[in-house]
Amino acid sequence: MQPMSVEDRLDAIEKRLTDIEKHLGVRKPQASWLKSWLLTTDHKQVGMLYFVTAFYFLFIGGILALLMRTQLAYPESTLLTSAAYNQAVSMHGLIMVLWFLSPLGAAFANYFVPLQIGAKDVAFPRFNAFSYWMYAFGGIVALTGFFVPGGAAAAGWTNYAPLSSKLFLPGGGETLIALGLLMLWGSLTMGGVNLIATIISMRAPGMTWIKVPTFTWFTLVTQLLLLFSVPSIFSGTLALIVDRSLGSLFFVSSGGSSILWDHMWWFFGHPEVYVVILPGLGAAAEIISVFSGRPLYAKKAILLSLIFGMLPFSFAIYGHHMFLTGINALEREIFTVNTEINTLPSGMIVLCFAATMIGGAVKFKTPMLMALGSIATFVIGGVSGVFDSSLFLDVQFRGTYQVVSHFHYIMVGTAEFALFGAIYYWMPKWTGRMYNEAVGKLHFVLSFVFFNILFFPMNFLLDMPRRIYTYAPATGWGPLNYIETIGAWGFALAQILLLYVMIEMATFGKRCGRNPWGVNSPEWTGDVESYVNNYPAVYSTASSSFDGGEPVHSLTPLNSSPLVISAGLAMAFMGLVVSLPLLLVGIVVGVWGIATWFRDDLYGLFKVPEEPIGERWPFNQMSHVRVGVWLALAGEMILFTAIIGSYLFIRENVPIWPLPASIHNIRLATFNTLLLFSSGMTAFLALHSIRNGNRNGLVGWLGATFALAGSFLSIKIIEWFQLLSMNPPFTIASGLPGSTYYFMTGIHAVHIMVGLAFMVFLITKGIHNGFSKTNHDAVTYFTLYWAFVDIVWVFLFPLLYLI
Amino acid sequence: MRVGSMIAVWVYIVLATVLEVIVSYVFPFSWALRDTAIGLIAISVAAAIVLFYMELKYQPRWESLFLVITLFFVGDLLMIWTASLVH
Repeated sequence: MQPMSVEDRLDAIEKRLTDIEKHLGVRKPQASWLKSWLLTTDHKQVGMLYFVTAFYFLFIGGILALLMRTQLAYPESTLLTSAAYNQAVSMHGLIMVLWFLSPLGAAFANYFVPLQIGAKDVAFPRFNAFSYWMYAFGGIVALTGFFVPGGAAAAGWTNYAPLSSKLFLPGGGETLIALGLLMLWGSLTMGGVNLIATIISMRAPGMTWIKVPTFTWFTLVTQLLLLFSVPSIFSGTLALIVDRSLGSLFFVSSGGSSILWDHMWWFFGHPEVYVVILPGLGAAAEIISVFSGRPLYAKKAILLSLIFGMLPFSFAIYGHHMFLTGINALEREIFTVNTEINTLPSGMIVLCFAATMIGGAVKFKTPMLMALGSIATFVIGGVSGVFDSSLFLDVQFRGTYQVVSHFHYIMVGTAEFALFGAIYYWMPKWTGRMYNEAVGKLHFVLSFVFFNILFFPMNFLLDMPRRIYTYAPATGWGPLNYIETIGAWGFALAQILLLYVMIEMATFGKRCGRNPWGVNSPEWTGDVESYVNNYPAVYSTASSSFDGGEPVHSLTPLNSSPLVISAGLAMAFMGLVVSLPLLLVGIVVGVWGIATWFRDDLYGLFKVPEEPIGERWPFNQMSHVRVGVWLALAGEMILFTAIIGSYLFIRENVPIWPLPASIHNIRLATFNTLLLFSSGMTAFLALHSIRNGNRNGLVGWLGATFALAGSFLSIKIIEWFQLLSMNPPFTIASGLPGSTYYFMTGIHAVHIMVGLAFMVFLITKGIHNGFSKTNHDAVTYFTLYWAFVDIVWVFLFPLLYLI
Repeated sequence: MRVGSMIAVWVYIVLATVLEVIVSYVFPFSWALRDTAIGLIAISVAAAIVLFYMELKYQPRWESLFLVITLFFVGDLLMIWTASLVH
């Protein structure tokens, strides 16, 4: 027998090691520790990134809260100036709601939803990482406001207009928060599409809808709320940025003004309350069931309450935030009735939780205590909210500390206690280590007691306005404020215990085995510390777990594009306010990131593991990508509905509007419109060609589409220059007709540019024979997108040029 | 869908667009009638694009669910349009 060479021996050892790793399900180290986290697209690692980053923002938001409470502890306190207080209260609200509470729910959703439904990863892993980095960098952009002249945002967490305008807040902080929010809205939309498509299309065989775990159901509804609510505030934030940077008049004129902003903000803002609390309630549902030792009572009733109650009604009640803004009496009555109806699904869920415990063998471990604390504060906050939903009482309470108490019981009490419970419940799954039960219980007791010391006395401050930075001793508000401040510090210091147990579970806690709670739920299938592996096998109804599958490598490839694009965008946004060179660097970095993204797609460098087809009802014949594309288009449709709705709102409120023909060249605009509509047909002919295997036809028709779309954009730019050179010039700052025209055509033009970039990619890939008769999904998705761009112009053209 | 059908849809879209302009600037309609006519033409064009360019007419039943989202978008616009006319 021929002796083996050293190289052959090494190859054999390497192969053997690979086999062992495959057998054990251990990931072969591919990158340095830091690189593997920065470039990860794996859903579990992305979930952990959300988790850590959310706590970073909690720390900042908490410091701001303590500053505010300490300022209010005594009458006539001078710890903070009025300007500093306004910044603290505004940034505290925004950070806590949007950069801590929602993302903490997203952290659990990212980690556990694929595990619960038996998917290898989320539907779009790279977009998942992109969502995370847009969230993280959006927060950095927002916080930069503290370091620019004029300080951070100071118009409250609602950014009410016209207070948020340059007239009242000329510093860069308000612009930076708007830009940071814009990145966050992008993140939330991508995250929503991703998780919804995952849950709809990537369930393991056997995981039918009714078997989907409760937390995943709550996540689905949460993401639907985001998908349909964010477009409204996305367009509002964009208009605010344009107001502040280019001088448009959306929120500083009588035609748009504060009421328009209120509609755009609260159409998002009220559903956001449910976005914050539903992930926590979903986790609480799982915890209550596990620690009561019995299945969740009336799960179907809970799901029906979610889908047909909370989901539609969270939109139908947004106007109760606007009772005092001057909306008409009928609208106020409708919003009052809707709000009171909306207590029914909430009540149903609480009753089902209580019924689950009745007759169960309840174990009061820390996760259970946290879940019960969440339900208790939900009831208290909910009851006080019923008073606020009444038009007549709301007139009295609005703007007082009673409202502050109400929304903190809901946003902090309900969401935070439940999510803290989720940490105690699920973190042993992440780390394989258990916390100290005594410390956990002490954490709950101190948190619950100090939380109530902090927020309950506010119910007795019915005459104290909530937006003042100090008060006179004669008001008599001092003692209660002093008690509340003790509560605030106690609540904050109690979180040191949470930090301790998280460090304990991550490092030195006792090993706890595979399933420490004895849970009969899918995500507990498999080993602990298995964050590199998922278990996509057949879901077994008998065992409520995944059977018959070996650990499967789930790690998707590392990819730098999400990080690079987000960093570039953040630099560009900060550069807009701080310095021009930073803006230019940001643009270069961002374009580089986009180019690498396309390059990876072009050469197939980013390959996601194939997912076996499982449960997909009702979209059995649609791939998860197609579902995602449709969901993204649905979000886009709502974005343009909000934009066009705002335009008509303005048209109604402006008595004199110039005739379009007196401003625009109608013949040119009509010709341009026909060019765009023709490009829709050529795009379809490109798809038709490749369906028949005609690659030359594909490239040719795509080239024609590019030429038509490019011509449309060029003529549009010529049109803008003609309008700007009129006498007097028709500019974005010359009045609402100009503001609305440039805003709407500008956003549409951005969509055209995205389409042009998409076409460059498709043509390049087509030239390299990247498409075939059976493999041309990207062309199909482009055709859908391009038809959507056409539809938008179907409405913009008559609105802007004909009527 | 056949290429001929697609071209027929395109011809309809072109004619409808030109008709919108004619209704707006050539005929002396009252503004309420004019806006309603333009709105209906625009919706018919949008429907043609959704059904044919987006091919929802030819998709499996459940994918047509997304047509509802599109129609919601169009219907929403129609309602806003009507409200503005009444105003």
